[in-house]
Amino acid sequence: MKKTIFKTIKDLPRHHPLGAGTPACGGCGALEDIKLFCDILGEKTIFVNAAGCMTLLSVYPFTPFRGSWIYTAMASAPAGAQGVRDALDVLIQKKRLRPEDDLQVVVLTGDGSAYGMGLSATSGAMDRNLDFIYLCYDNEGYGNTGHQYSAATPHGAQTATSPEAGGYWGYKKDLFSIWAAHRPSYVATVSGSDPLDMARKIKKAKDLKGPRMFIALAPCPTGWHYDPKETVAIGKLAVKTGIWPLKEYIDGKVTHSKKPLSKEKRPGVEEYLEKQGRFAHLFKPRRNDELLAEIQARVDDYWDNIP
Amino acid sequence: MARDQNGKTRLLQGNEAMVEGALAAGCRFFAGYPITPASEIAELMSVRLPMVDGTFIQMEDEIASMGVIVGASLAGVKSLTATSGPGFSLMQENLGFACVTEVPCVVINVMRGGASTGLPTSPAQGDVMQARWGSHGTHPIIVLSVSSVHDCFEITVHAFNLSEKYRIPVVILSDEVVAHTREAIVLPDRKKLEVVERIKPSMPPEWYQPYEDNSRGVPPMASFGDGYRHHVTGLVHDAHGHSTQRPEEIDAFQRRLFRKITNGFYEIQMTKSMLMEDAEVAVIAYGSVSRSALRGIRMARKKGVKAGLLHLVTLFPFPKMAVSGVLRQCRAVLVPEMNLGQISREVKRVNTSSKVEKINRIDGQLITPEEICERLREM
Repeated sequence: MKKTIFKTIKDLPRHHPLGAGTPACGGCGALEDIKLFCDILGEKTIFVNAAGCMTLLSVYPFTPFRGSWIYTAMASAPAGAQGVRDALDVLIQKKRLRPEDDLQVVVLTGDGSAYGMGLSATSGAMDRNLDFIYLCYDNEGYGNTGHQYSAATPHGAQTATSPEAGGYWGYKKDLFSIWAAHRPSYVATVSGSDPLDMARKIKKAKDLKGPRMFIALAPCPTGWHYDPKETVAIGKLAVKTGIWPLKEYIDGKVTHSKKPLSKEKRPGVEEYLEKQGRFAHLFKPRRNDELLAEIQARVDDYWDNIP
Repeated sequence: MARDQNGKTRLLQGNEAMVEGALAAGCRFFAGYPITPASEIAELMSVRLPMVDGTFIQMEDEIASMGVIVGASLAGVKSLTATSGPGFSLMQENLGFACVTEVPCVVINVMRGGASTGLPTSPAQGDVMQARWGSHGTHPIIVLSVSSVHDCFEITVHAFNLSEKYRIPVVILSDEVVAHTREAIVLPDRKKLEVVERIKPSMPPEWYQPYEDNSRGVPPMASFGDGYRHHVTGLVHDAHGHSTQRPEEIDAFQRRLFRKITNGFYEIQMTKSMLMEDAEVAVIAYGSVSRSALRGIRMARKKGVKAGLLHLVTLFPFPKMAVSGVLRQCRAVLVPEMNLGQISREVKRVNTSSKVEKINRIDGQLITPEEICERLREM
């Protein structure tokens, strides 16, 4: 793999195609992710957007996207992308579209669609080796309907449908591995708080063909209950504590692009959890040591067992 | 159902009252998927059901939500799901399965504007025909509507009762305005509430035929685990529940599904007449529109128009007896709807001679009492 052009933060694009002034909540982590995607991918894109928070970006007559944008039902964004890609290919084949004017088809969905009902359509698209980019902004719940739990909600988080003391009973689904098991061209996890790592990965994916899949951490002040100014800090902590591994799958191998410090030196998960209202029940009115230890153990276990 | 003054007065949203109604009717299983404007039902159920040893489960989509409540009901628990238009579309296949396998369950559809994603935060009544005919093939179904917070409680209880009694899915059509309006409601005393349970088989297991015809057309229903052999299939089946290709068995089965509803028609047909005694013109309305209609009628009466209201609670099977009475009495009827005319066509189908007029709004706004009053004066 050739070296990317992003050595320092100063190398990131200065031109930002995504328009400002969207109706997204203040401090929206997903918007941070999409902005960088637009920066690197440029204006020649078609976003295929399944129902979710980010469909609210494009409310007629206002849209921050420079290129085209289509909306699909919750379950079928990759299917919509298949139609768009196939049509573009036909146009190029018939010489009605110049290859240099070709557009990058980008599926944009939240975790509700990506981890849940859209998984079947995604699996189908990867199976057909569809040439597209998939960006899942993972805010760990159904943000658009009031933050109910999804299959991406971490263990112990309180949501609108898991309001009880122990929080969500489930464990975050390992979508990275599910996607990687399809052996697509590229799979990566990214975080908007690590723009350099993210930019390198997007650039790498841009130069590839076939299914290129991204899961982007999208801290959500509205659903996670924290001060909107903390979005970047929370994103950084997720990486530093080891909760959000930054990794990529390419050519059958998984590699970590950034590893947290060793178990003894890295900050504990508590530092990340205590900043968020959805985990407040772990600390108040009584510290839930058992659950905190369990969350920490799962993170440690992950890093102990990576090759 | 009379209001019981011993009950507590509470300020509830329509969606919350539906949860209370479901729990009062004995619902102990909820499965759903977040969707505006129905999410509050799931959110409240996630709190309330564990308190009464019930089960709340959030599924990965609406196909699964409908599937899981059918399974829960077959295991013997009264089950509910709630959604809005896009989710209701996804539920249709399993809803048809529940009709054909005669599985009692209740589906709440809080209607929102437009087709597709439409207007998630605006009211509409566009799903009336979908509720009746959304699933493929010939099948019976009961569709009820709600117009107030009190209705949300009362009709939800009725829905479970009808569902259990006739072994049929019941769809409740609410809309965004009813769902999010807060009103004071006196919850009736639970002990005085009529709650119907499905009839279970009492014969020895070897005699049991899960789809055997009887005078009511409703066979007793064994739960999985009761010791009865219960084979459930979406294929057309004989009395034992096994698939059949014999024309006489197919015909008898399909007709029985309709006969059970026809037999119970007078109980299922629920309407409310208001100011109809001396009415010369009438409004036939349902859902939140019926409340605009009542106000509009009162305004028209002050201006000398003898108007009355037939408020439809049951939409399907269509309450044709009540409607034909109104059509015979009045020289003209007005059917205001937040669609381009779905129930008005049903009214025209029973019509004898009176004029049937319509007011239709599909702009995400309510039909106002003024619009209705104005139209009544012209009629």
